[in-house]
Amino acid sequence: MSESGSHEPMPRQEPSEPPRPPSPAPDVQASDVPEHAAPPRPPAPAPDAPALPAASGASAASAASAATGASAPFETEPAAAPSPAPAPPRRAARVVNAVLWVVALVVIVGLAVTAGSMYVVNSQWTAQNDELREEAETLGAQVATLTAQTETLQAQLDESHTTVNEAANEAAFARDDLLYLEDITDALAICVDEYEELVGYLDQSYLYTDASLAAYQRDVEDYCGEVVAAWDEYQAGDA
Amino acid sequence: MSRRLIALAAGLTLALGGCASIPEDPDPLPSDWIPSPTASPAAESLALSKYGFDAAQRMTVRVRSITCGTGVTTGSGFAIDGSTFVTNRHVITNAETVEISTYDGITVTATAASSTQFADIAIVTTAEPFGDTYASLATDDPVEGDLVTVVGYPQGGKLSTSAGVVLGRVADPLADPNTAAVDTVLAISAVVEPGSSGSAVVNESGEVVGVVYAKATDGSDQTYMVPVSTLTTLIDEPALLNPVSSTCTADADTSTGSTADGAN
Repeated sequence: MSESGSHEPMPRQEPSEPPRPPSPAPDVQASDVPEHAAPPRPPAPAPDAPALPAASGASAASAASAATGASAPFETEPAAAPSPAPAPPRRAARVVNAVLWVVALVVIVGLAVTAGSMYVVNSQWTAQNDELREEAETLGAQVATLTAQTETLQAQLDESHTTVNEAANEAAFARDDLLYLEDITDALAICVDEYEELVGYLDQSYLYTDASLAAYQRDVEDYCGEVVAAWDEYQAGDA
Repeated sequence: MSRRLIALAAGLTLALGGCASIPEDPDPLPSDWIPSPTASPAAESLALSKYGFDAAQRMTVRVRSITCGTGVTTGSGFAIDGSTFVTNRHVITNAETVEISTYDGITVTATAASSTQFADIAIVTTAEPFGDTYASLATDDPVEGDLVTVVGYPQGGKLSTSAGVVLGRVADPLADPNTAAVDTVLAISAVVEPGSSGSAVVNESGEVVGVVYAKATDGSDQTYMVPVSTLTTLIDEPALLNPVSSTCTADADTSTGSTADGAN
């Protein structure tokens, strides 16, 4: 990369040192020229010629001179070219440039590393997200299956509850019926015994008054009537 | 120069800021996705057991009273331990034999019974303990507005429940002026039927807060229960209980009255 310096601040300092005017012509006659005249100088560069590198102060001076449109065919005092004072600012500029480039390089490398890291992390998160999504779908399917099984088991449990309740109820009713029938059977046996006793009393009716026998007979008949009524009620399903 | 410095500062800020916001790597996925259970249904007081019966239903028993010459009557009751059951006095009055049946059809004959004149409460015991769920008695009586549930065997039929609220304290509609019966009882709105006598009345926590013993006959559908405080007193002071003889007697059932009938 060339040190063009075309945008450096240095050229803007050059105007502070205006080109020196041509030295006054030597006080000689034209006829003396052949003996004392200086050797001819090369022609000044054309005004539209490209500027020379800033590294040559003399050339810059010549360029500046050309830019001023001076028509002097030669310079009488070449030693009066621009002083080398602009050199230290150019070195500082180069240092600043170098630092800036280094910093820019570091920034670019840092950004590249950051981008790479983010890409890797993003890839890891994306992979884990995919894995989680797959796992969630699997678990969701399991939950759906278990929910269906729970509903089925709940229905079976409700059915079992009803079945057990009805079975216990039927068993209790059966026990009630058995006890009730035993009670009726006992009552019928008592009824039979009472009738047998009534027959005995009637056989020995001379021992009893008719009223007492009739009363006893009514009691027996009432008792047996209640027993028969209870049996009829049971058979009718009302008991 | 200043523009370059600004650009440099911006670049550095962007780079460092980007580094600061870079997300960390994801943690490794767990190998086991099944969470540990945080609660056990069995620990709940009203937890379901086999066949889907809750605790209140499992502790409730059907009381069959084989009476002297009047056949079989049924009532309800509940277990307070493996061999002790609470029912109404009028359920076992004149009984020759008292049988206890559980929700799952097991029937055991009671070996002893005792009752008191202070309330329509009887305690029935069996020789061998059975069952696995017993009542938890509330420490305080319910107050007006509390939600309650009656669990029993209305009409001597299937085990069922009836919900209602506490209506408040009322004078005992079956109070016998010749006895030192409790002054007040609790009225509830739960509907009961004959056969519900002795049913446990449980609160929302499943604790027993009373014992059903009568229902109104004036069409109001009010049900009366002995409060749990009275029951607790009887259990804590056995001297207040008198043994019930299994011989048939002519004792009249005191559960009938002009304004209320026993829910026997």
